[in-house]
Amino acid sequence: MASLLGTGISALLSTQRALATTSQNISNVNTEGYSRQRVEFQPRTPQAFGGGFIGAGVNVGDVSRIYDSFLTDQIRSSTSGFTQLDSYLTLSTQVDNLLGDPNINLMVGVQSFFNATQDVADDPASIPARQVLLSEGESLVNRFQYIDQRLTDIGDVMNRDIRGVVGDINSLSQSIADVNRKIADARTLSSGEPNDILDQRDLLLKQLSEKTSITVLDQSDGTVNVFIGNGQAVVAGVESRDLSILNNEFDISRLEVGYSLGTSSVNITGQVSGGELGGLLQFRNEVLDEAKDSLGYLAVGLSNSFNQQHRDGMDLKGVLGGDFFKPIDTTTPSVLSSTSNTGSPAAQIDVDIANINAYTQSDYALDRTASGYSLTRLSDNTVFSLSTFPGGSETVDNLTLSLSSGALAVGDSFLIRPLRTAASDIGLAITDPAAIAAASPVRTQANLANTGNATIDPGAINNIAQFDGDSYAVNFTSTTTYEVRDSLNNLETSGTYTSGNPISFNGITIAVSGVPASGDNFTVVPNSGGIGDNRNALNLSSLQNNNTLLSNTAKYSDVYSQLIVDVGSKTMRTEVNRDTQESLLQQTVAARDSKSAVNLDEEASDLLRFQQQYQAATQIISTADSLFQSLLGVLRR
Amino acid sequence: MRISTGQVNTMALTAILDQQARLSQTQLQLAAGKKNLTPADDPVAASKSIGLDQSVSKLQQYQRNMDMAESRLQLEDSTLSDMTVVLNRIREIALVGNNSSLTPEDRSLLANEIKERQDELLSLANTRDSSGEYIYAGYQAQTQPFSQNSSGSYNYAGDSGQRFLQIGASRQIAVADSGNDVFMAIKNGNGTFTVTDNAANTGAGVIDPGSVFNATAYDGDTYTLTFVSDTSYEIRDSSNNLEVSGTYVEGQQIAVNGIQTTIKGQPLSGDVFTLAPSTSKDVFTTVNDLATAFENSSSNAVSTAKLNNSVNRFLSDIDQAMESLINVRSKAGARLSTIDSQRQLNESQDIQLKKDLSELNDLDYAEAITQLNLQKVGLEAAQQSYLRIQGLSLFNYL
Repeated sequence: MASLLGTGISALLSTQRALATTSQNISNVNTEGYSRQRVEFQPRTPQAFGGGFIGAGVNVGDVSRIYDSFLTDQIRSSTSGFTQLDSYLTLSTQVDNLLGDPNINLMVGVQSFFNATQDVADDPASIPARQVLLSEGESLVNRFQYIDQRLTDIGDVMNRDIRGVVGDINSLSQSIADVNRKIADARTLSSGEPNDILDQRDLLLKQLSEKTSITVLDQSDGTVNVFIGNGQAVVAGVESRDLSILNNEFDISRLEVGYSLGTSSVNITGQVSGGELGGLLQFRNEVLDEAKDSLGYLAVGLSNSFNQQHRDGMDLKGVLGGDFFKPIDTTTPSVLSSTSNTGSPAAQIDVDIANINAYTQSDYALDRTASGYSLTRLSDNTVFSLSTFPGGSETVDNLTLSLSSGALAVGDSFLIRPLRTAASDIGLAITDPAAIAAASPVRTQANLANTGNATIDPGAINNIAQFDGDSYAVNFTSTTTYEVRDSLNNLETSGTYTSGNPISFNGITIAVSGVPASGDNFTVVPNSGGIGDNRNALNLSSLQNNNTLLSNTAKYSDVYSQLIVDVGSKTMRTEVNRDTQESLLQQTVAARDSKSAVNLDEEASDLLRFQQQYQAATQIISTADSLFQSLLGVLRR
Repeated sequence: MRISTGQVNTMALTAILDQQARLSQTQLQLAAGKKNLTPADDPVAASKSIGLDQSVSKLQQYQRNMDMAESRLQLEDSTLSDMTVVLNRIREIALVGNNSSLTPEDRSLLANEIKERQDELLSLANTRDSSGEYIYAGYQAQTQPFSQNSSGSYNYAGDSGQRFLQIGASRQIAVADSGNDVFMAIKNGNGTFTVTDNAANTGAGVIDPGSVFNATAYDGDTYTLTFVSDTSYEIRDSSNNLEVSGTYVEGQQIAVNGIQTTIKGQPLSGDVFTLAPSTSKDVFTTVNDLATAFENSSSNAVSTAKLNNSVNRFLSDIDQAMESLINVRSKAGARLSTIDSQRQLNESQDIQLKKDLSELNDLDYAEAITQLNLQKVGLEAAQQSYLRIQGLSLFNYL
C-alpha cells in the first residue's frame, strides 16, 4: 500500500517536472539559441521481497538539452566566414562604385583635359583656349583629390568599425567569462547541467564568432577557454583578456590590434582573421591601400610625363616651358619614421621618385642596423644595401634617397611610401594662360637662294637641358657632305648626307630630305615670336595615346583600367563567395535547428501526453486512498 | 526530418526576402535602362565602357579639330583664288602694254592700275583669320608678314612654320602654308634658268625666256652671251671659257650645254645677255618690276626692246608664280578632301563605338520585363503560401 502511494506520488512529481520542462520549451520557442530540453524518466530502484522485485515508481533522472556540439561549432565557423566576406564586400563595393562610376570616374576628367590640349593645339595663340586648359587642369586635379578624399573617408569608416568591433570583442569576452563563473557555480549546486546558462554562453560565443574567428576549448570544470588569432586567449576560465587599439609605429592614423601581456601589448594584427575584424583588415590590405597607391602612381605618372613634355616647349612670351603640374615626384611627402626611433636630432630624409615609368609599386623600409644601412622593398622583401647614403644621395630601385638633416641611430627604421598620398598632393604649377608652352623653341628655314630641291623638317628638341638657344647653320659643302656651325661659326657636327636621316646637335634634332646642291644652306634658329606654333601642344595631346607608364607598356587609361578591373573582380568574387557562405550558414543553422529547436506541435502533443500521465497518476492516488479507506473501514467496528 | 517552428517561419521569410531582392533589382534595371547598375555587376564591362566613352569623346574632339581645319583651309583657298584672279588681270595688262602702238602715257596709266593691283595682292597676302591671326605668316601669327621697304623691295617678316591639326588617332593635317613657301620661294625665269638683257645694251635685241632641251647636259653655270660684232656672238661660262660662238641669225636657236634661246630684232656689238640659273623671286617683286618697266618706257626702238624684254621676263616669272599658287591651292584642296573622308571614317567609327557601348550596357527590355513578371508571380506565390501555412498549429485544436 505504502508503495502504491509512493509510486503514485513519484509519478505525480515526475509528471509535474515533465510538464514544467514542456512549458519551458513552449515559452522559449522564439528565444534565440535556445536548445529544447528533455526530461529523462528513470524507474526507481525496485524493492526486493521474497518472491521477486516490485517497482517503486519513476524518477526524473536528468533534464538535458538536445544539443550537438559539432553543429554548434560549424555554425560558429560559418558565421565567421560569412561576416568576414560581408564586411569586406560592404566596403569594397563602395570603392568599386567610386572608381567605376561612369560620371565621376577619373578617366572622364583625363579625357576632358586632353581635349582641352587639343583645343589649344587648334588655336595656340588664343588666350581663351589656354584659359580653358588651365580650368580643365584644375578640374582634373580636383577629381584626383576628390577620389582620394573619398577613399580616405572610406578608410575612416573602416577605422571606426575596427574600433567598434574590438570594443564588442572585449565586452563579449567579459560576458563569456562571467557566464563561465555562473556555470562553474551552478554545477556545484546540482549534479545536472545548467542548460539555460549553457545556451546563453553558446549565444555569446556565436556573437563573438561574428567578430572574429575563434577556437573554443571545453575545460573539465564546465568553463570554456576562447582563443583568437594564433592562440591568443581572450577568455581563460573566469578571466577575460582585453584587446586594445594600437597605432602603427610609422603611421598613427593606421589602427592595429593589440593583445595585452601584463604590462605591455603585442601587435597581433597580422594574426587576426575571420569575422568582421578579419574582413576589415583584409579590405584594408587588399583593396584600400592598393587603390590609393594606384591612384598615386597615376597622379605622379601623369604629372611627371606631362611636365617633361611641357618643359620641351616654349610659352606665349618666348620663355621655355616650366612645370605644368606641381612636381610631386620630388615633393610628395613619402617618409615616415618609427615612433621607436632614437636618432637625435630626428633624421629628415628626402625621397624622390627617380623614374616613375619604371617604378615598382611597393612600400620600402629603410633601416640602420649594426652592419650598415639597407633599403628593403616590402612587396617581395628584396634587400638593397646602401653605400653612399647618408653621406651623399643615392639612387636605388628608382628612388633617390638623401639625408637633409639629423641622424639615424642603430636600430632606427623608416617606412617609405611615395605613392600613398600623391593623389591628394597633385596640383597645377601655373596660373597664367600665357605660360602654357604650346610652341617648340626651335624652328628651321631653307635659304631662298638654294638651288637644290632639298627640304628641312621643322626641327625638334631631343634634350632640353642641352638646348642653348643659339642659331645654327646647316651648310652643304657638297651634294653629299654637310657641316653644322653655330652663330660664331664654330663647327658643331658634320657628316655624310643621307636623305631623311636625323642630324642631332646641342639638344636639337633635324632632318633634311631630297637632293641638295653644293652651297645650299638651312638655318636652325630659336622660335622667337612663334606664337602660332602648336607643335608642343600636339605633342602634349598625344601623351594620352603613348605608353608612358609601367616601363613603357601602359597608357594612363591602361593603369586606371587595371585598377578598376582589380577592385571590380575582387568585389565580384567576394559577392559570389559571400552568397555561397550565406547559404552554407543557413544550411548549418537549419541542421542545428532541426535537432535542437522547439517545435510547438511536438510540445503540444507532449503536453497532452504528460497531462494524461498526470491524470492517470492521480487515479493511482485515489485508488490507494480508497484501499486505505476500505482497510480502515474493516478495523473500525 | 524534423523542422522546428522557428525554422518554418525563417525559411519562408528568407524565400520572400530573396524574391523581393531579385524583383527590386530587375525593377531598378528597367528604370535605369541598364543591365549593370554598379561596376561590380560586371567589372570588365565597366572598364571597357570607360575606355569606349573615352574613344567617343576623342572622336568628337577630332570633329572639332576638323571644323577648325576646314575653316582655315577654305580661307586659304579663297584668298589664293582671289590672288589668281588679280594676277591674271595683271598678266592681261602686261600683254596689252607690250603692244608697240601704245604711248608712254598710256603705259603710265597702265602702271597705275598695276600699282592698285599690287596693293590688292599685298592685302590678300596679309589676310587675317577670324581670330585676327595672319594666315600666311608661318608661326609669327600676330606679325604682318608682307610689307614693302622704302627701297621698293619686299620684306617677309614671317617664318616657314606650318601648323598641323590632329584629325584622327594617327592623322595630322597641315592647315596653313607659310608665306615663304607660297609667295617668296618661287623660281624665276623658266624654272631652270633666266635670261636677262644688260641694262647698258645699245641694241634692240629681244631675247625669249628659253627652255631646257637636255637637262643632264645643263650644269647650272651662268653663261654670258656677248655680241662681239653686230652679227656674231660668243657664249662664255662663269670662268670665261668659251663655250659657243656663232653667227647671229634672227629667230635661230642659240644653244649651250642643253639650254637654248632665240633672239629677235637687231642687237649691236657689245650687247650682253646673261643666262643664269633660276633663283627665288617673290611674286610682289615680279609685279613691281612690270610696273617699273611700264613707268620707264619711251618710244624709241631701244627702249621698246628693253620693254619687250622686261615683259617677256615678267610673263615667265608670273607664270611661275601662278603655277606656285595653283600647286598650293591644289594641296589645300586635297587636304579639304582628306578631311571629308576622315570625317566619314570618324562617323562610322563613332557608330561602331556607340553600338559596342550599347551592347555592353543597355538592357534587353523584352527579357527584363519577362523576368519581372516571373519574379512578381514568384513573390506573390511565396507570400500567399506563407499565409496559408502560418496559422497551422496543434494548439488551435486543443
